[in-house]
Amino acid sequence: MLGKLIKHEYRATYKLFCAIYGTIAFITLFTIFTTNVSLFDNMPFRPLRTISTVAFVIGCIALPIGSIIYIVYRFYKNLFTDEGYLTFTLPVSRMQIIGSKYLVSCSWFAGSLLLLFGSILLYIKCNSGLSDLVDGLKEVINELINTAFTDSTHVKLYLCIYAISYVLYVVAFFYLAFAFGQLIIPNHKIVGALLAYLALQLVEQVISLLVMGLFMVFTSYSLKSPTLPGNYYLVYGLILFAMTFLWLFFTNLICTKKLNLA
Amino acid sequence: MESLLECRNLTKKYGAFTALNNLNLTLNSGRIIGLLGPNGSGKSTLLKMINGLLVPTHGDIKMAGSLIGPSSRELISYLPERTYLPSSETVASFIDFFNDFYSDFDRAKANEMLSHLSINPKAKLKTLSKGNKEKVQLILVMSRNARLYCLDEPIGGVDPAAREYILNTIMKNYNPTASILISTHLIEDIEDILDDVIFIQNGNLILYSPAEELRRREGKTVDALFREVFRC
Repeated sequence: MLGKLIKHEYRATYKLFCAIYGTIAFITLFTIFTTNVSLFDNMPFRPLRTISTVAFVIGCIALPIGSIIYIVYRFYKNLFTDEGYLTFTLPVSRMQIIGSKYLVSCSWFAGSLLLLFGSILLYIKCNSGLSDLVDGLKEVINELINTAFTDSTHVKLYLCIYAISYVLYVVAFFYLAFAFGQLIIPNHKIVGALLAYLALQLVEQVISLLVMGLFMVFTSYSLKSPTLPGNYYLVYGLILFAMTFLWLFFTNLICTKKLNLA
Repeated sequence: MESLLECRNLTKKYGAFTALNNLNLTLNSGRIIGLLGPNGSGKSTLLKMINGLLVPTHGDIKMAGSLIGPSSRELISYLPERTYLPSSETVASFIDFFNDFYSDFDRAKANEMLSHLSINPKAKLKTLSKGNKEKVQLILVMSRNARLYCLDEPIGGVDPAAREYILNTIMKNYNPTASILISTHLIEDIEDILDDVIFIQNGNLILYSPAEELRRREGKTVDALFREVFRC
């Protein structure tokens, strides 16, 4: 049944995401084209270069934000509006429903981020004017890492792990906010979700402080220290993984024990 | 008769408001049961709890001996009182969806009923009239060979001709060994098809009786009795 849920979830979402991905890919390639072809150095074609560059920047900002907004909106609509009468009467468990939506949503969100970074890297690679700037930025980033961390051997790997865990965490975070929101204010679910979002942010901050505290207890790290432990983002990333499972557990619990589709 | 659905001490409260109060009910197989009561009496609340959309405050519900869950949802076919299908999808996609998830779904029957109504399967739900949307939902529900059909106000909000069509569809397509639980306040239209009658008011079970026995005992139709019992 989980496979069927995933299949139908992809079927319901692929058209929109393929259209968005196609649009971003087109804008990226067109921008690269207008940037590198001398035809666009002069009037009347120069405005096209400006417009495409602006569209590229807007697209890069809108892609991840738009993706997460659509993912969250779909979760809310399928589960906590009239469509919930269809979703929750299927002969499947609540965890299968949530799990299928979560897996598909994470894949689309990860795809959006990969497309975003790929577009930016491609644009930089194809723009000779930016190469020097990027080389300079790379040096600055390496210097920052060497200065900020006690042991910078695997920091880049740990930052990647942290980034992946944060992608998974963000979707679970919003799912719980909406599940909690329909519980606390059933007649105004979106307002409830906003309040739940703020409360969960607070919980996240408290957990961040606890992580810092753990480092102070179990390592020689102190708040007065000018550098972070080299494995700080590895530990924080693993804690985000754990919190992701916890948020999904609570989302399932609310949808199983406290669902009120009135 | 085999006991199909059992509600024990079923209560649903919203804060200080009690929607269902300590309801005890047993439904048997092969019966058409009218769940009758005025607006706000608890009919929809009961149907939603049977289908796992509301969690009881107290008590439990068993369907074919098991508590409400994924296995009971395989046995129950539910028609809510509202349009619950995504409006941007096509009728054909709903047929595929129901066929995928419900092993008792009869695709050929569904397509035949759609064809009879001249509803294009490729049409998106949002392009259909209100009456046709409700008919599509009814077709999907009645194309299943379920053990229990829960129909919440299936004939409310549609014209008399559509009501007749809906009732004929229900009678022609349901599994005769199954039971149908119909919630309505339009009793005159469905009285003739009812085997059993439940009266519910303010979340309390007032009456549960075979329809024929009730008519004989009271010397009046169920509709007349309803008007008398629930007089404003």
